[in-house]
Amino acid sequence: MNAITVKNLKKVYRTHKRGKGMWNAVVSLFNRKYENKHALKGVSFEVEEGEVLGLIGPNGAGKSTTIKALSGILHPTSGDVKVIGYVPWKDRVKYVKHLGVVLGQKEQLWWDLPAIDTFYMNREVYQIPNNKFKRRLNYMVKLLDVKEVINSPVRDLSLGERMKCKLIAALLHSPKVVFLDEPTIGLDIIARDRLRDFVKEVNQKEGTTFIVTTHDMQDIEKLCKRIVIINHGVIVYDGLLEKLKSTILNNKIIDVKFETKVKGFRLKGCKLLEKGDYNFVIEADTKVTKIKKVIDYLLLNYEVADINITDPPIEEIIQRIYKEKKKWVHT
Amino acid sequence: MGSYLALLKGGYKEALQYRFDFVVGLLRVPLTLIIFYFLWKAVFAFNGTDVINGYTFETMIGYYVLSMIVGMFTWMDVDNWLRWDVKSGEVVSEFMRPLNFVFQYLFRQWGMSTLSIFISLVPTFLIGYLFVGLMFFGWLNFVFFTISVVLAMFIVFLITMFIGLLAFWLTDISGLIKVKNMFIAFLSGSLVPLSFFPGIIQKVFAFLPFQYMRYVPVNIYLGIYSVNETLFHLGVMVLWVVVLYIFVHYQSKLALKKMSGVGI
Repeated sequence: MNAITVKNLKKVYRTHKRGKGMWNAVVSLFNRKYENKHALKGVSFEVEEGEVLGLIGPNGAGKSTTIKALSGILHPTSGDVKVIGYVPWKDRVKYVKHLGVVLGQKEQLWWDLPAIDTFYMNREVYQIPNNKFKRRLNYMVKLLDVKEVINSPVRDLSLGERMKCKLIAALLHSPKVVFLDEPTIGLDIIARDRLRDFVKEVNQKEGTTFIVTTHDMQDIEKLCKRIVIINHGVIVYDGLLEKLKSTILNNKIIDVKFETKVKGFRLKGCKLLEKGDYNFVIEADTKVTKIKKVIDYLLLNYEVADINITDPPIEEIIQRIYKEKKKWVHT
Repeated sequence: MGSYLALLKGGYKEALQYRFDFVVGLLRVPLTLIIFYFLWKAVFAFNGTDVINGYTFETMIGYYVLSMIVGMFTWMDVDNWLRWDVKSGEVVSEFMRPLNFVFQYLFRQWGMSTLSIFISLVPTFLIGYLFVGLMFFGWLNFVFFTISVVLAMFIVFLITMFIGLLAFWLTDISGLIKVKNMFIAFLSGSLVPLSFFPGIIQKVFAFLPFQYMRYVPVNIYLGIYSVNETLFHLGVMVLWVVVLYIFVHYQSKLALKKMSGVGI
């Protein structure tokens, strides 16, 4: 069943432009030039119940705008959104009871108070039964290892500690749908790992539907089976992460080591990325030359000591999609 | 209701988070009274008369004592919170709670005010009774006064909320807040009793909500109005609360639509 349906979502912002310098600051008081910015140009996708969807794209692609429209804090210019049966920006009060949102760039907790106060406030706001609340709080505090920090004022916490506390605050009321907007931004490796494990566990244990936006491909690889890539306000890829590699990727990276000194290498469809006296790193376009042919060629002509064939890292694939404005096939 | 009380508790804790600032905040009432005391002492001495515009020195200071008491209940900071919340985009937290947007600010404000009212209220009354000859004008007036203070509190809240919500359209409203504070100080009667203004201006004031923020409640306490006049004023206050609430309610809905531009 679909938890989220987005149909042809569009959003046009109006921003005012002004030139640099003190004179233009004065000019803009009297004469303001406005410009329309098309943040979303017709976005459609669906998310199944219990799925963890990765929403990725370069800066300014429209990820956060999408999340905001889904959270009900943004009225789109046109288009339909249904999340667990609600139109987010219409039934706000009823809808947000079932929603948890973590915005990496926003504070969300009461700045001057300890996080525990925000947690207890949420207990009352969402009217969570006391014993259930305590059980859940203890469980999450343990899982994220924040026992030591929840009693200090939020302003004294580190970025990672605050993020973990925000995640707890957003999940205390057992929401059916959770949006995480750059949840690992600025966190160290250990904190990231804990956060991901936490999300994974909540998803598996409770069947919570997640949408995660991030720039960290490890988040995606660890959490999501399916991803939606958005660029310049349109969806350029919607499908399984696994398939992303095979549909878009014809390239293999071949790392070869040799017994004897080697000079050059030339073969149709192959690019020499790195060249040493005893090793090559070759990028082979398998559409032009089959991988078997490349290997055969290498074995035949060189004293090969070792061969390692890998896919280019996911970051590179994503980079390619970002740069090429082409739409990839939906799968 | 329980959900909103959570915000009240939060505001209460917030108010107490910085104890030095909290204590200094408590000094606001006595300090203002001292300033007005010496100011009017000088005015009366310069004038050489015992009565100015119907006020003796004692009744004049009594006016300010009562004005400060009304002011404790009508102290509102929600415009500043909204200014900050909208500019930083943190206002999304308010929209993410399954609660009415306007009421969240009201309850947080109540939480903020509760303790300082609790601490200052009785001492201020005592200062009035013991040192400036403030009198008790009977229970009926006192009940009317209490009702008028509650209504004044709502009027000030709603106007402050109206200014605060403008942040969604104007992004920065710090200048507007200053002007609003000046207007309220002047037009509510917290600076000078409104009877000091020319008659025609007072007639204009009758059509504005400002005089109900301080001047009218104080006069109700002092028994200046007849029972009928008092009831009329209370009725007008209720009307203002209803009108302003309807206005602010729709303004907050429009604000949510407007929010899209803040912090893409």
